[in-house]
Amino acid sequence: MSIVTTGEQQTPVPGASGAPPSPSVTGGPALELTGLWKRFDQTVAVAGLSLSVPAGSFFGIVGPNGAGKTTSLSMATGLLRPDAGRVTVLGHDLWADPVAAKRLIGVLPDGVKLFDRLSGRELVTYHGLLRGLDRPTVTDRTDQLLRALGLADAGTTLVVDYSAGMTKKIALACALIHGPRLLLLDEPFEAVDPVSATTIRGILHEVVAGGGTVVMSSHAMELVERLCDHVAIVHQGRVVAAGTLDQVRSGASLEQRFVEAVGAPTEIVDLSWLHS
Amino acid sequence: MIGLMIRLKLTLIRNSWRVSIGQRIGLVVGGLFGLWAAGLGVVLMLALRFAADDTWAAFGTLVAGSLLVLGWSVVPILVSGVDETLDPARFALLPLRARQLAPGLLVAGLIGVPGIVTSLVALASLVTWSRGVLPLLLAVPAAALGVLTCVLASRLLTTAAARLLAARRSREMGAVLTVLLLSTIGVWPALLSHRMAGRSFSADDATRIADVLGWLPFGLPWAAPGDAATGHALRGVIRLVLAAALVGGGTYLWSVLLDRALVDQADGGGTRARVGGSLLDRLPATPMWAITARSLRYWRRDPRYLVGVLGVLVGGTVPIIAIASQPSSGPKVILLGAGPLVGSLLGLTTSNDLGTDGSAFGAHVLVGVPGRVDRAGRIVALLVWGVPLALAVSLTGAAFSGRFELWPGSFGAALAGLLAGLGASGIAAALVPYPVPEAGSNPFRSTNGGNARSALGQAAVMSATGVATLPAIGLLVVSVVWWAPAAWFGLLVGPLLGAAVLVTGLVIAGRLMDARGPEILASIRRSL
Repeated sequence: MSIVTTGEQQTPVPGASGAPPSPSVTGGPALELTGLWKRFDQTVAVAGLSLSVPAGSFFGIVGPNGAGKTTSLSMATGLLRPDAGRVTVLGHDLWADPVAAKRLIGVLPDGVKLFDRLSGRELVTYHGLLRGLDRPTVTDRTDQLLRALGLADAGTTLVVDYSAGMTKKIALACALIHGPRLLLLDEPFEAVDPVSATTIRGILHEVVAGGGTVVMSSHAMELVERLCDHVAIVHQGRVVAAGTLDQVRSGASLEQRFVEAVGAPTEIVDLSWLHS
Repeated sequence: MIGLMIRLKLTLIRNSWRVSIGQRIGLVVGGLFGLWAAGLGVVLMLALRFAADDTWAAFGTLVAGSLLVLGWSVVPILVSGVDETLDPARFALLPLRARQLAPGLLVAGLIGVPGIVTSLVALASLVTWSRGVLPLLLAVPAAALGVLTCVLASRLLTTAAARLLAARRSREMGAVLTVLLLSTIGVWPALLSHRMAGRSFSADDATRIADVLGWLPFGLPWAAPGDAATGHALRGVIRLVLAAALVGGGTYLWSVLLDRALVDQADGGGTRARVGGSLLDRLPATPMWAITARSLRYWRRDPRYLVGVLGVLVGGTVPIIAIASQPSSGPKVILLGAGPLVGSLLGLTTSNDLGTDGSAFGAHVLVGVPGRVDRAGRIVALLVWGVPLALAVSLTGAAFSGRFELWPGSFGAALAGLLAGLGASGIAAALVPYPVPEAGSNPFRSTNGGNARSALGQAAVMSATGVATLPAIGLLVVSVVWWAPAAWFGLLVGPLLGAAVLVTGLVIAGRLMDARGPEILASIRRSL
């Protein structure tokens, strides 16, 4: 299932207009955001955002800075209460029945610190225990995740002393420990080196191959183009284009569609002195 | 370059005024404090103008001046982040050499509350030395050199220590030491006056101290006018020359360090704590025990919690010891109150523990940890060591009070305060949390972290704790003045009442946390 929407008005948009719904993924949506609104003081951060993420998809959310990606993901994960709208996770209304919904999702939030006075191993163990897993499962999975992410040696180091990339990876381990059906990742590849990025890509593909759903936000168009089978472009708090990757880019590159959708800078400034 | 630096500094101050109400309050509070300090210094200097004896005028200006230099040297190292506005590291990307930067940085260092206070006091010292022509003649270069020494000392030491300060551990230790020093500052004069009791401070003592202080780098310039006044003009000139040489040498050394800092950024790498076996593996594998283990880790590893515990111990015992050690009446029995005071304060330390978590609390919201479980885990983590600590303080207090047999009353009231404090704190933490600075950052930014609502909440917590502790305190008083066995009733009543408040608080706090998770998160992430 794919949808094309600009919030509540359902007007045609560049990229996905006219394309037939993709038959590639079946089943109900893993995540459905309906008419989400969020206002901070005078600024409207999210203005009636609606989005449907098909189960089993690898879904990319792109958008310029300040488009409302992080705010939307925060509302979709229970970190931020929406002013209006609904969030449904695999059939459970997140804000009406948070316990059932939160059990199914793993989140890599952006701008949320970790309990960084714990060592990496302690932190992942902590998340496993909070999720109610039993001791042997937690120990096994923590070991495996640390090894898979190349953090086995850093397991005894306090997370506060980690580099930015290591912190991202340990946060991902925390999000994965309970084997979530739906992964929501805010900028998972930011500050991550190419080797680790390959590892993370492998893990995410494995989640999708196992029938799970991955939603990630990113600035990097090529990355989204390479990884995701579905994509949504968010601009000024709304979805301006959404669908399968091919529907959205409809022959051009994602970057071109993106620039069309959000509008290129209008003013041309003479910078010829840069040539000197 | 100097003009540019001054404008930059002024712009930074003006913008910090615009940022938020909190920043404004901070600036106003800083300004008021500076006004107070400047007033104190200026009044002292003016008063010394009319001192009967030149010796005292010399001693007063020397000590005040030396304290200024000492303050400029020590405070920025202990409390990093007080003034990072013109951190040399920020100029590292520009093609500048220290020689170009140094004068501007020095002059800009004078702009701001400490610089103005110092300049005012230095100017006032000219009035002091209008006692004579020769002293005044020396006082003018002395004041200028003194102010320069202040700024240079602060810049030189912070630049030299930058690498050290960039390391997390030393920054945190600095913060802990500072808080400890400041929290005990009220006691020091009392202790000193104890030492001095029965001895009067004579002019000879003053001369002896001045002789040493006047040759130290802190005191060199400030001692010169006094020399002239007491008839040692030549010695004064020698001091001024030395002081000028010191400033010159210091400037050179600083520019060398600055050049190095500009190309070689201190990144604070190197010190990485490693930890072995974990409490998380030893306590039972449930969410509540995981939270207990995590909290216990934080009580030991997070400097903010360490500061909290130290604050409780100092704040809970020092006033009582101070009263009990009055040589006159010696109401030693008041030492029985140390346990209850420490217990109550300990319970209250958790009244903003979610704020201390900061955005990391988001993990609990994401997982959907039940509020009751969350709160219970934190309570257990404090009781594990809080109860033994309260017992130890109660026993020690009782032992020195001369009425050791009354320890059950003291401990009972301590438990009442601890348990009730924990219960009430849980509600405040869920209802009126406020943001606090992160571990290792400047602890004094917190003064304006809360708003009126959270202040009200904290007051309510304290009142509730006080009311719940009252019966046990009453029994303790009864046992002291009338009927000793009442102490044992206190040991029964105190914990019972405390536990009742604790359980009620736990249930209410749990519901509040369930209902308000995102709102709690939003208010503790509110930018400072």
